[in-house]
Amino acid sequence: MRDFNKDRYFQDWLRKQEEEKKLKEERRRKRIIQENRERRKRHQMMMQEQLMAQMAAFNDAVINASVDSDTSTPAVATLENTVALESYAPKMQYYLTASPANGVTILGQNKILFNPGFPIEIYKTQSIQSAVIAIPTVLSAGNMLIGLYKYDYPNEKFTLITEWLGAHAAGNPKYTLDSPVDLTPGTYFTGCVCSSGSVRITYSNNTSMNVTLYDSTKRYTDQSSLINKMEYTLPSFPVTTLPTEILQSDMTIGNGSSPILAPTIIFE
Amino acid sequence: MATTNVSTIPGIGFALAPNQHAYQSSTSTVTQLNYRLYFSTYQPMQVFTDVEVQECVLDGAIVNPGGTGYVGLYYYNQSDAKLELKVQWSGALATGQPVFSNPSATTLTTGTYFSTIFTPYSGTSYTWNQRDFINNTTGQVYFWNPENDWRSSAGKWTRFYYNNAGSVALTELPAEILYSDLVFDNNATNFIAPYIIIK
Repeated sequence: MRDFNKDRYFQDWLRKQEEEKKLKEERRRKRIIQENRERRKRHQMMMQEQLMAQMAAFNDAVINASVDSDTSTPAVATLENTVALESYAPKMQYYLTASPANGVTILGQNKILFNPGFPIEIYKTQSIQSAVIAIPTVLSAGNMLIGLYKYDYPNEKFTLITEWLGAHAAGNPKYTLDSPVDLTPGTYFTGCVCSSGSVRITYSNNTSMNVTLYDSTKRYTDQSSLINKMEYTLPSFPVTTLPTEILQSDMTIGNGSSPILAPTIIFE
Repeated sequence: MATTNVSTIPGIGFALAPNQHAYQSSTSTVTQLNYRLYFSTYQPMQVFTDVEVQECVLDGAIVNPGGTGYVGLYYYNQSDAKLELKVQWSGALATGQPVFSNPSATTLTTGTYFSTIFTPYSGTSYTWNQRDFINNTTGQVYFWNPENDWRSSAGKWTRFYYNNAGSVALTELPAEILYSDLVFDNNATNFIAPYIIIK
């Protein structure tokens, strides 16, 4: 007699085996699908990164090509900025070269000379020490006092922030700050005077160093509004230290044919 | 030496007068003025107290002008790291020293300003006198950012510019330009920005 129960158990076993097999197959299929998805995703991300890199390179190339399409000398460098500038210090290279021809004169002991063409703008309070003070001199014998003055507009005066004693030297001597100097936002000028001996210094010419000075009465058509020299006449001289403040009204401003190239701060 | 005393200095502009071109050595042509705004690093205008401006004068070296020129005066906002348009002028470009005038004056507050110019016409270029003391071998300006260590020799820049995205032509001067969108470079062209006349 046939054992139906045994047969049924066998059928159940077969069915379960079949179901497990299907289940395994389904899991395997899903895993493959998932792996393919992840693979595609990784590939897409990789392609996207490559594309972005190519686009960035392309954009750079376009920008550089645009810059170089100027008919002048191609750009030597560019910088895209992420941090706003904190200060500004012009330094004409002209300062260092002989073209257009500069002149040489003796730096007086009785006047502190400033050049309005070299203001230093500080936009954010900072302490500087590594900056150097540079002034173009020639073979000389003597010392200079170099002051850094802050222009105090509301009080109409120039306030001494710090000063350096500079020994004569040929070329473009630099004087490193002895200690850090805190500079608050504002406009600064450097001024110099011969404190001993006879220092010969470079001067510019009036056709290349002028700036326009505005006030309520002067316009560009007024030639006296073009200035290239500011100077303060010392009441007694020579001096061993610079005055702590100079009133604006005591400062002589004018346009000369040989403005002295006052010291500038060079950040290097 | 002609001298004069002034009681105050409302503003000092690095604005070179038209007759100060004695040392022109050659000319340079600047293009892309329809989507690129150039600023001269050596030519900021420092204002120490409120002052009104109504006219501006373009530097006297424009050659082959075409169409309308737009002049903008941007205030440098350090704390927000951007340039803000404070006043603009427009008018037909011409050789010589064209003067643009606005119907009314605009008050400039204390700070640093840079001027720029653009024209909406593509392909238009302007030739400017190149000055010995501001070309890339003789005239550089130091900007200082400790974070970027611009104190190196690479930190000397003669101009900076804003390049509109995709080099698409501008239709007007942007109200503000993020500092991060500015590119500094050192180039002999040295776009001569217009200078501003206080009236």
